[in-house]
Amino acid sequence: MRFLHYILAVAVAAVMLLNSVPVVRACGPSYKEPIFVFKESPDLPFDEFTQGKIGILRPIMGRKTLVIAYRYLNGGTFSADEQDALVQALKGTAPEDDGSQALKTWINARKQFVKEDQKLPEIYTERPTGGYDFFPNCTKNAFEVAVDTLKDRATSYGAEDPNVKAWLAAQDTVFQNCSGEAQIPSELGAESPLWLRKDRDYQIAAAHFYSLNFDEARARFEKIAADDDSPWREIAEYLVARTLVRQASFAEPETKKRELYQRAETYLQNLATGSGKFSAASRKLLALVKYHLHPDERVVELGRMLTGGNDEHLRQDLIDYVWLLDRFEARILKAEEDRTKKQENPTQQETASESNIDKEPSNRFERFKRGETIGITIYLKKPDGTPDYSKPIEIEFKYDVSEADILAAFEQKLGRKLTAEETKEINEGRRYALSSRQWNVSPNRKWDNGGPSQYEGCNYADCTKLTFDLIPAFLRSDELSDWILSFQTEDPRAYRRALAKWHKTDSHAWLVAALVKADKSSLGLPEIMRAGEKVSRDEPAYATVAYHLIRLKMDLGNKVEARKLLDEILTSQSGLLPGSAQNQFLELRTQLARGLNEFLKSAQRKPIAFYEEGNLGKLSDMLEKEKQFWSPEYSEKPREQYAREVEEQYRDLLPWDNRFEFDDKTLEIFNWHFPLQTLAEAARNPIVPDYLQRTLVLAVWTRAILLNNDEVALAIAPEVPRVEPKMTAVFDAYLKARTVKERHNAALYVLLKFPNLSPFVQGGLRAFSTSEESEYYFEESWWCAPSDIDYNNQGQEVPKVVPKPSFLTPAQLDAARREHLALKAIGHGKSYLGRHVITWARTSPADARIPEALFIAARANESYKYGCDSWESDEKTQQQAAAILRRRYPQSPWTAKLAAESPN
Amino acid sequence: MNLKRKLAALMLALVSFSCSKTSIQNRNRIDENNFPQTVLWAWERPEELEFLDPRQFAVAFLAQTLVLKGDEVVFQPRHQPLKVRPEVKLMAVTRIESRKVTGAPSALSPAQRERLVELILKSRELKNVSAIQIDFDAASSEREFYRRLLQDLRERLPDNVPLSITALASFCVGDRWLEDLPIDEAVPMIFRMGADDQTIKSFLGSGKDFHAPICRRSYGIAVDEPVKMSFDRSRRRYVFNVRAWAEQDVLSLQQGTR
Repeated sequence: MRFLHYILAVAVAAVMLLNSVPVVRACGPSYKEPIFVFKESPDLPFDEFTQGKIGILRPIMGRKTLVIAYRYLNGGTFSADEQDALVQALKGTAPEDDGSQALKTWINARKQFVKEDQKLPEIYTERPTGGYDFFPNCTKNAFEVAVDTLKDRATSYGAEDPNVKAWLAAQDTVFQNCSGEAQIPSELGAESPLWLRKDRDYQIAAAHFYSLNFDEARARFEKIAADDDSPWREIAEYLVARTLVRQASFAEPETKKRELYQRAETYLQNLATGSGKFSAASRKLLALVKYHLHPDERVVELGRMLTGGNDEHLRQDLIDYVWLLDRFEARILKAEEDRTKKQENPTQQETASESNIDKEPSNRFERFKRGETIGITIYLKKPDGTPDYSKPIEIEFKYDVSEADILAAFEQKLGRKLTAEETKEINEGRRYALSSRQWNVSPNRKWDNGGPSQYEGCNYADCTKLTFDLIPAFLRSDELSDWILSFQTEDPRAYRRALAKWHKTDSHAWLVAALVKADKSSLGLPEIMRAGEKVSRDEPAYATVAYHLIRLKMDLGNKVEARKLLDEILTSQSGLLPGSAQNQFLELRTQLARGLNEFLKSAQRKPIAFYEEGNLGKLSDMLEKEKQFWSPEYSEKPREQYAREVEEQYRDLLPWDNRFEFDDKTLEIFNWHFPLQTLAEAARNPIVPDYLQRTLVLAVWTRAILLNNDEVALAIAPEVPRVEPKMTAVFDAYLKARTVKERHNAALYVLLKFPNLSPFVQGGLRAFSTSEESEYYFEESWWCAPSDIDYNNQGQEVPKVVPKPSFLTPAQLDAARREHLALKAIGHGKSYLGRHVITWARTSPADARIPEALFIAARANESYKYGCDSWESDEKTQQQAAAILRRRYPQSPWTAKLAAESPN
Repeated sequence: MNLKRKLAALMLALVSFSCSKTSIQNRNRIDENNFPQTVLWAWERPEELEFLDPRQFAVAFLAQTLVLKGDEVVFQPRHQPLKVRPEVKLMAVTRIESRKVTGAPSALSPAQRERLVELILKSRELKNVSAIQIDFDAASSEREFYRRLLQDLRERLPDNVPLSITALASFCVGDRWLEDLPIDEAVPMIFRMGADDQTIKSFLGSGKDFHAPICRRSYGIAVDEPVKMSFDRSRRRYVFNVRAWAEQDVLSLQQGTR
């Protein structure tokens, strides 16, 4: 019996271990990454940009951004309302309300007129087109008008009036058509009051509109528009046009679509010029019609409106303009891609990389497309009877080969008779292939690759690029489009074009374009640089012009002039430039540093935002957002307690909203090219604020320990507890050590107790925890060996290159290189520490710190998802440390703790 | 029953209990429904895919986006046309967005969960849809809600209808929460991985495989983001394109040049 109980216990324990859920830990790092430059958009918030503080413009910026900048570059402005609209446009907010709030208002309004127990209607505002997509059918305005009408009728005739209730019932029927169905309210006879009959006529027309019966809807709206006694006359006039436009959007073929849009255009031109209630709405609808009917003209028209000002639909026009420009560019590039491919001669122009590609699949595909052949594929079966997709049997046949011949061909290929299932599969495959062939050879088929699809730009390295010869004349005739396309193109002729346009217009927009495109060998460079020097500091163009003047001076070897201009800007413009611009100027200044002081001064940059898990903004904003995450269903704590805890977490973080940091490029320079001595000098330099000195001091001490440089380690040691008081108690043993061995062991213990220590200068807002505070979970702790590999845009490995500061001497650079190699040889921190702990345990078994050290070494070298090599770990060190702990210190609480937390 | 037999029965029961959780995941309804090996993701843009060979390609199209906002579910159906041949296998994808997008917390209430289930089931009513896929980057606090959602869905879907989810590649490398989900596959998305990008690519490039078994039935890749790894050709691949699919893109897939 005891034996059975023993077996039971073992079995149950085994099952529990196999099925146990591991202790849930904080999953992955939560790290607030500082952002120093926004490369493709203006700085947040967008308000300053829309007010004219445009900073340093880049060709990779979005087109909405460049449209706004262009107006400012040419001396224009935007009103306050326009600036608000532009901010929303930059945020990507759709101009039209989605109608959900208006729908709620309608539901609530009708509640007052129905019985309490009556079920509320379920109204969806979107309707399927008949395919897989939906369109917004019932918009905000429909519900607003319904609410207003219901209130008016109830006020006029009484809420309990049966005719008012009949009106409501009919309106419910109308809105049933929003998401499907074709429900039409019934016609009313002469016995109904006149007002109800007029309303009903309108409701019936609307129901037809929403149920896509456009001809019927239009005819009814036209009738109402001609009825002087109808309160719906004016709106019906407008809705005739809307019905035409909606009908056009669904119409096929293209000729029918165009015909409807043309009718709408004619109709709207009259309404738009009038002074009626719907003239503004008509103008807006007319703009949409022009977008579809005359895109070439429309993009030019929009370009002029956006440049000139006084645009009543600025936000929509900006969106339409950018969409049209993108669309034209995509079509141009697609046409060019197709033309190039047709012209290519494969035998002469085949490159080395293409020569390895098997062209047969391509040739076979072409034969399929031409209808000459068909392809039939079957899959052999695995032993369990399921298809083995890794082993297809494919044969190509002429399309008119008989079924019997096809089966025979497969039998020959397989070397055996076909099974009944295989025969069935082959016959089905033949039917599919013939059906495909019918589609391929159909005269209705569009051979144009991509058809009407929206081409959203090409991210491939070998994509066709937009060049000047491809830009059609109508786009070049519009100044705004010409400027944007010239500014953004990589065509080497862009500089010459910009120069020519600047000569012609003398505009800052073209001066900026020319300077951005120029290099030290550009024709006419001195002239545009002189012009750039004359741009005054309060001009919107100043930051971009100044940045490129400095860049060009540096390229020309005029470092003194470049430095002088930079220093003037950084002094006079401090606080006036957008954060990204300020940081870009500081980046240039770092490159021109003549000594450590200058380098350190310009290396300190203020982040313009922080990023964490999809959230971008100031730390104070993140705090407020996180406080909102409290959920009554899932939170175990009261809201107030949760909020207090979050505030406590952010207490030490919030000051960083206004502090400076080192960006990644600076950190790489520190870690690659600064030898230990120079890094130590930087750590003590008064130019560096104490909160940044901290990261340097800790890195210097740790690196000195690893490189066995006692002199530097001891020299910096008094600074360590000053910059990180948390370390004081543990660090004391190091400071008081009397022998080299004592000091070495004390240093090792310090490293074990503070897993955020690293020989590399670190950036960002990282928590500094003790091992206890991190619950001995060492996922991203200590350091990883430096990597000499980087990745290019194609994902290929390339040697890592970090620019060398010119003020460092060859001796310093050489010292840094040797240290880099030594740190590389030391390897990953967890493994290094683990091995040293094992040695320590062997040489000083009586040291009271050993059990804890072994415990930490064992836990550190477990497998972690975000370890230096992902899940790989130093198993040998882990097992050795654990074994020594268990064997030599069986009674130690650290042994029990290891057994409890890491049963394996 | 003598002692030995009792013991054997007990061990068998215990072993069965241990194995029962994995046997749920052995079934793959996507294979049962004869989905081809390559599935093209057709996202929110006009897609004309009538050139596709239905024997070789299926389509997973974005049918709707459901946004969890406060205590509501905001329904955003697909707005761009999709044209496919009726023989092509179709998977309706529902994207769920929550506080990561809205910035505001969601109630994650049972009523919201029920609403999601209703709307997801409704997407099956679209023409020729034979499978469902959910695309939800659930935050840690949302995982329990997501798990329950998938359980509810599985209970209300017909037994033969596949239920697939997309998964961040990092989930598939080592997170355990994917275990025991009532799904036919979790498609690890090996693209646009953000902070995990180099870690995951190095992991896969060194020959390692996803730890979570449910992630070993398929791959999710993008045409513009090469991944240096050895692909297991028996797994289904889902392919994302940054632009609308053109015949040339599909040809390049077949050639393996993208």
